[in-house]
Amino acid sequence: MKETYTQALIAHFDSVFAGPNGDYPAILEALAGVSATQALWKPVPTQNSIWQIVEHLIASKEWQIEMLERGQAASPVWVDPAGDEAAWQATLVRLKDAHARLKLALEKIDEADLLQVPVPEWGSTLLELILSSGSAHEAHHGGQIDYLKGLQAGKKS
Amino acid sequence: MLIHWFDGWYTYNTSIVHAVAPLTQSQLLFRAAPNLRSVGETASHIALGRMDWFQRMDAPGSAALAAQAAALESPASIAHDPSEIVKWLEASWQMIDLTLKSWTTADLARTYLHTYYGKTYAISYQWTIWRILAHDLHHGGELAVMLGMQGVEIPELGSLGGHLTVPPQAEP
Repeated sequence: MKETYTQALIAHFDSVFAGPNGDYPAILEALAGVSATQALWKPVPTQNSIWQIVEHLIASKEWQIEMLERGQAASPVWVDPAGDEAAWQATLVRLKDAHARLKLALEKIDEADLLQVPVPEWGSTLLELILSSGSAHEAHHGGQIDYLKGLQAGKKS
Repeated sequence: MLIHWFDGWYTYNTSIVHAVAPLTQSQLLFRAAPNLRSVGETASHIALGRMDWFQRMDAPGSAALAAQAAALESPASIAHDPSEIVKWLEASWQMIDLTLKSWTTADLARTYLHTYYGKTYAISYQWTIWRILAHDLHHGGELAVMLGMQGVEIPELGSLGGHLTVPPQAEP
């Protein structure tokens, strides 16, 4: 049972984060070759940039780690980052680091705890929260990163 | 039943249906760049893309639905019509719903053979179902960007990210 849950979770997380998934790219595949300029670009001012989405994914991973380790966490907040290429590359390092730490937290969790309801008002087990906030959430935003990247590629041609 | 473990997929599908149903033809035909799918093409790709993979698992209702889809001129032929796209989103969701209510976690380990680029793989049902769910999510995220670029209000698919499952209210 223990292996079933944690291995399935980690496999899903790695699948969406690193791929390969066939005809749609994983997060790291979509981010490959994206520069700081591309990461900051927005198609319209009201839309999120790739960099904003990446910061949101980092915050979401931190939220999941906190939930796994302490059973409570503050909701992730969207930010509007700015910076140069070095800052963007540092952001990507933080993204990969957060993913690695999330996997470690998953490996350490007692599987019985996954079936507990950490916040009674939410009415969801920790497993359900992690499933919806983890790989499923990331796949949604992965499509947005890929689209924003493709959109910029199309505008150059 | 598997449906419990995939709680949230139905509501994500509903958020896509609610986003697409009120669109005008020009909003559906919106294509942000020549190299990218239009709104309508993306939504119909979500609906029709479900069938191939579910048919490979011989999922309940998949063969009949795939036969209906094969009669279409092309997926792009419905990309301008919101009612047609919604029809296929709902029909393909019914196939998924029936499958998830018919199968149990034991079915996730079942496999079928699939040849891809000359190599034959033993694909598990678990891999396939997750692949299609992730496919919905990936392209649903794209839809959110495309509609946001047009100024279309999509609270469910946008700010809620398709998270439509509302926890039960606490007893007073």
